[in-house]
Amino acid sequence: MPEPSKAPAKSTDVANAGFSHLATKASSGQASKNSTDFLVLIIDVNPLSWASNFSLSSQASIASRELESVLDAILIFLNAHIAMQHENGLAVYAASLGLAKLLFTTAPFASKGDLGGSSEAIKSKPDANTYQHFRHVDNAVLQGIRKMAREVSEKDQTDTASNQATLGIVSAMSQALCQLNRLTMTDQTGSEQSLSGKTPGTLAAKSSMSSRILILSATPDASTQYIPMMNCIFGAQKKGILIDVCKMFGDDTVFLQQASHLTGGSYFRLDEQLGLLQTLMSAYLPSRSIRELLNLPNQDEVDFRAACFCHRKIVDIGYVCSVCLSLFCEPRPQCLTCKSKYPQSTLERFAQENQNRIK
Amino acid sequence: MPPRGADDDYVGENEAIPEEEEDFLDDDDSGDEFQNLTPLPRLGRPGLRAKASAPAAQAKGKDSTKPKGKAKDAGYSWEATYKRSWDNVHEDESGSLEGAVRQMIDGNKRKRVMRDVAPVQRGIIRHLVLLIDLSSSMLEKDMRPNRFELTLQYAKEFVNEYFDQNPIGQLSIVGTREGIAERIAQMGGNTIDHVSALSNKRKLEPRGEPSLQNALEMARSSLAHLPASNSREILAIFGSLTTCDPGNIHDTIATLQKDQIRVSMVSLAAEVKILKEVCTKTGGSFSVALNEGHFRDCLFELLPPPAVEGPKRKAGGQADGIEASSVVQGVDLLQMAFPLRLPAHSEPTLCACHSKLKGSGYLCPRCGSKVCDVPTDCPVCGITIVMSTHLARSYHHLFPVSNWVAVGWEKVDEKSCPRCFSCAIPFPEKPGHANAAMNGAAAGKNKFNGTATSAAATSAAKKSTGAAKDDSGLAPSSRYACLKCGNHFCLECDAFVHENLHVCPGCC
Ligand SMILES: [Zn+2]
Ligand SMILES: [Zn+2]
Ligand SMILES: [Zn+2]
Ligand SMILES: [Zn+2]
Ligand SMILES: [Zn+2]
Ligand SMILES: [Zn+2]
Repeated sequence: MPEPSKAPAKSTDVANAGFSHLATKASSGQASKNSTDFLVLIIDVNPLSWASNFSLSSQASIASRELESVLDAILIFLNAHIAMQHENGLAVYAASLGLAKLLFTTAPFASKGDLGGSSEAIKSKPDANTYQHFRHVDNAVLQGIRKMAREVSEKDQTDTASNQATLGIVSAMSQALCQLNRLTMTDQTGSEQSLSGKTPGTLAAKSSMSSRILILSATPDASTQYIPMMNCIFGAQKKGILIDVCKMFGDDTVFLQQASHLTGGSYFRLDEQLGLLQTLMSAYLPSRSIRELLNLPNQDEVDFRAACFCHRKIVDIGYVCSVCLSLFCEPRPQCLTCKSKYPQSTLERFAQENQNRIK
Repeated sequence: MPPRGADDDYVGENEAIPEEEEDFLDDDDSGDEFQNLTPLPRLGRPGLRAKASAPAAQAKGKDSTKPKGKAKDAGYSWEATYKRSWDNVHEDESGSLEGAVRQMIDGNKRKRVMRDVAPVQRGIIRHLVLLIDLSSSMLEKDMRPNRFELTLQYAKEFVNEYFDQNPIGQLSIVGTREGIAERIAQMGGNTIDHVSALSNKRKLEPRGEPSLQNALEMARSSLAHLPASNSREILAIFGSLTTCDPGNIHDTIATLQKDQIRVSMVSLAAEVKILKEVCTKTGGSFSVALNEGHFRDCLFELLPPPAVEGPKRKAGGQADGIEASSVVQGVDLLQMAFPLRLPAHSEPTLCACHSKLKGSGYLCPRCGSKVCDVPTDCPVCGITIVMSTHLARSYHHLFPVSNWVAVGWEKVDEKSCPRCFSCAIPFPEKPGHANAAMNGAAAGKNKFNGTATSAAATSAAKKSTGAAKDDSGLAPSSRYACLKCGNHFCLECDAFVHENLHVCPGCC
């Protein structure tokens, strides 16, 4: 496939079109800077959880007003992240019911064509009072979320309750990991650009990229998502990607607690809505190299206990199917998941052991 | 050994080959093929030597016609036709090899991706003995820097990767030299112990003759007592062509068969009948490493847990009737304990495994003793102690992502998304269909259009498997479609999702 080898170079130019001074500076100054930070932000905009959280105040419009104030805080945070360092990368995903969408990315290879609203943003007149790059991000995120809200409401009318169970968070995480994978890969090998003879110097310098994912979570766990979620976590762990979680409201999610614990990120539960901006700025803005020096909020105990597949009961000592690794709280003759039958001798042995213990 | 100059010579003689190709040949898998032949002369069997040197001579000669008459007896790899890898590389119109080389690299990626995804029962709870030849033949320098160093390096990588892919598996390492077998690392689940044992080069200094039988017997002794639900395997890395055994090795093979221990081997020298026989009779695989890269591939092929149907098939051959009604072999219910994790700042106590004073640790829920690391078997009461995450790490073997199919050009229209679903890289435009495909408006709509589109995409993708893709499995349109969700992905994401992530971004 000869085409893609040329495509990245081309789209880099497109991406940097508005601020070519940045692009040149980035390539020349990169060797001295040792850490560039790529941040992936995943915003949970699941309408159900937003609505249910603010329904207490009995005003329908209050949820949307809350969402808007949260978005304001997020945009300030994103702008701050971009302003920290010229080379800082950024990708924003919105996750809703059953779908996740890329709203904005600075990844050089990504196509800018149909990302939520960014095309309109470029067309609009430049505003002398705002930094153009900030404006791109803001427009892309706001319009993307609006578009997504429309799509979700349309979808609700067409197929009700078919996709309701799945949440977009895992899809967003997996997409983010794919993008980060491609990003680190083009950094390390750089084969594509070096083959076409373009600026080999920038490639070696870029490989020190550190990346992290920040999830602004609003929705509680869905047990059907356990396996894909864990796979994402292990994928991130293997790639050395941190997962930070900021729980905006609602119950703690055990899955995301595990995600941040296993990848070395931090999990923070927001007690007060108004504190969002401060939390984002103080806990999640510092780059990974600085984080080592900070005492970030982390949870002491993570619930790693296992729940049985039969009653969802937390077990200390469980019985595991050797074929599918399903976990049961008591010996049973047949697996609930894969229908394997277990040998009689094993069952008898367990029964005897249990009797002995009772005596 | 033919001097390194030999193939340089050959390339040099053929003036049509441009410079980049020489580089390429050096890295290529089969480019160094005659190096395998080196141990043969030491066999002291003139017949073999004559046979072996023939293909090399032919390859070295300037004669460009194919070597003939070697294909009919394909029993040994050195007797097979000499494959000239550079015949597969063709220049494009501009005389550049970039396209051809890229095609090969991509093809390799795809091949790895297309590996088994059929839902089979797998022996997730693995016990494996890594058997390393430490005889003087391991000092041979046909692999750089030498066989011994390379083996240790790959063994370390193998151990790390093994525990990553088999979190509740266990491993032990056995070496053989001077006619005896010695245990290098105990059966256990601790990566650090194993890697540090393999790092101690001075202690592992190769010398003398190996003993295959002694080594197999020692490995067997640490596997035979395990319950039937555990898969029992031996992986041997063997550099020697000889073995110095105290008894009849066929008796050992019989007992291995009886204990259902699967033996796989990677030979660094050549195919040896008895080595191959051990593997085939016990249901394992045997391979001869061609060069450094191939050696690594041979080892790493054995990383995913083996399918359980091996022993089952054997049992079925003897007694079909019984098998159908009763329990399938290898299926069992296992008792496992999920420990309480003690934080690092808790009061230090002695651990049951090393008798060290430590704050952090895990408490066995049955007997209350403290262990340093999980997964392990409780040293006091013997129960298997695991964390729920260890079980979760294995789930991707059981529920793999189905293979994605290559999409042909005819299946790509304005409705198809112009970029990769997961990494957003733009796909190449359809030839002769120029700017229409880039119109984001039409393309963006498609993606979330619900079931109708994805069903159409599914059927489209299915049809395209037969017609559009070439034999390498690469898609002409650079698109790969998930049959479940119908989204299109790039090759890079295809490889990443199937090898690392194990989640389809569109399906969840
Ligand atoms: Zn239960
Ligand atoms: Zn089962
Ligand atoms: Zn210990
Ligand atoms: Zn115990
Ligand atoms: Zn992709
Ligand atoms: Zn899919």
